[in-house]
Amino acid sequence: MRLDIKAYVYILFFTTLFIVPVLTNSHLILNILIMVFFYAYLSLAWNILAGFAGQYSLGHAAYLGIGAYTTALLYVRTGMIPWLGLLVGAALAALFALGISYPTFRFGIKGYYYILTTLAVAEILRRIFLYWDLTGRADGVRYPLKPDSFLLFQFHMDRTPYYYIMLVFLILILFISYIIRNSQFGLHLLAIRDDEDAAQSIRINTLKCKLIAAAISAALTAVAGAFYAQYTLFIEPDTTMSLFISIDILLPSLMGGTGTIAGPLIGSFLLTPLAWIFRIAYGAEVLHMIIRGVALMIIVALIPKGIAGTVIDYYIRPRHIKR
Amino acid sequence: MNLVKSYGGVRAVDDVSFVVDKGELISLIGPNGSGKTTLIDLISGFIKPDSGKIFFMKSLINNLEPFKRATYIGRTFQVTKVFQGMTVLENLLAVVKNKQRATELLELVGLTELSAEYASNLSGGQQKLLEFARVLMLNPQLILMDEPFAGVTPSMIDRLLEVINTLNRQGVTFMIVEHNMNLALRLCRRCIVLNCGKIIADEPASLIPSNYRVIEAYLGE
Repeated sequence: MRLDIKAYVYILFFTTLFIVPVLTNSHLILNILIMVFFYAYLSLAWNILAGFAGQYSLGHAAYLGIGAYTTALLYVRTGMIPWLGLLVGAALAALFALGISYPTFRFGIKGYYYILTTLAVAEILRRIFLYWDLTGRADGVRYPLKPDSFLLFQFHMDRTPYYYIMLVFLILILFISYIIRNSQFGLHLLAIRDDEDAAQSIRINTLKCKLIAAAISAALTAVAGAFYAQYTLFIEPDTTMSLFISIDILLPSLMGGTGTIAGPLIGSFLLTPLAWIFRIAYGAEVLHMIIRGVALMIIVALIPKGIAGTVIDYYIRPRHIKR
Repeated sequence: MNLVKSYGGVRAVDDVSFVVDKGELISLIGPNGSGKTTLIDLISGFIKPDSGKIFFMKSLINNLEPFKRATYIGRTFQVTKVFQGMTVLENLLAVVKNKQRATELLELVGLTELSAEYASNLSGGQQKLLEFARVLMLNPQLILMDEPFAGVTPSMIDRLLEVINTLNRQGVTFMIVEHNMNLALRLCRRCIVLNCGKIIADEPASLIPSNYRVIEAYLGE
């Protein structure tokens, strides 16, 4: 099998990441890298719906919350191992996404209206979780601490297992994104993104394709939610499902290049450490929020297509006739 | 049959009825705002009629969504709609993953050398050609073309006319909206003329230049 230069870069990059824990056992570095992988993963999941299918969502925190709460509640209340809870959470998130997406897509809600709809739905769900006894209201859900165990997805002495799990999740979602992008379904999503009428004119069932993309994106986001619950061992609505989480999910993709596969990865490697360094150095949440705002302004003003999108436009796209 | 479509108080298509036989090559002409594009949108399912019925091969297709109609009816758009973020080749592969057919069609419309180019980099005329090739990927029985020659170079127009004639001889039915009356009359055997949403002429193309109502619609009384 012949590999192109991009494949070699990816292999080298991930091999390096695999040996990082061997080189350092610094909790700080590992924690930051785990968060980098986490947000890159989330942004890639968001990218399937927004970047490929062109349906921008500002409510992905809802799917993250569904994944986190399902896994946590099933473990705390029934003893179901988190790995199974993760799958149930993913299925529930996919169903929830279908439930809210069907009426919105069916009645042609798109663009800004779709963004506002997803934002509203996520906020309503956060409010419900905030006042619902089942979800522990504002107190959230706290895990009973158990000895380190892969089966129970709990590691207290060392962050390395979390590091590797999140890294494997990231590689898997990159692979899934690649498969989708290069499939007929992926071309259909890109066609819908570029022009929905034209997509319909070539036999594409746009409603079905968008629903499938929404379900896949939601399910993958919920998987990260399950990871988040196991990583923090405590979840509550404000830190799991707020609007700021939804913004954090899409920022890496916007910065790196929405619709590209490398974009969310690049974006997360640039944005997440910066935010964490400010958070750790100054301990102020407000600085972290300022960075978000400034990053967003820079992206919109200077590189609306993100880093990867701009590189593709100027260096990769054939330019035989570009004037 | 008896198609009506209104926007506010304006009847864009007003009680329009006609039959298209298999293998016909029809031009749809008329002054600006006469309802040509609305009629194409109604037939392809992108807008729904207020009243009236649309049949294809004797089946009522009023309730069929556009993507289902595309199995039989291909169309191009007045404002070209190619998939800008995809390459020229991907634009065709999005229809059917048949690279050999896509390559043949690119050859047919003269875009082979640009197959790896992003569609957004093409000129307006080239995008028209790409859109036409994309329709051909569907292998439709009826092709609706909305101003297919706008922005296309004269040499490419000749090539397109040749392709349309060849496909028509093979049994594909065409209905072509065209502003350039000379071109429309040169290409088609039958001509339907719309004015203010109504059909004012439906006759052999050779009779159109001498039709008083058509001249009046274009030039005024």
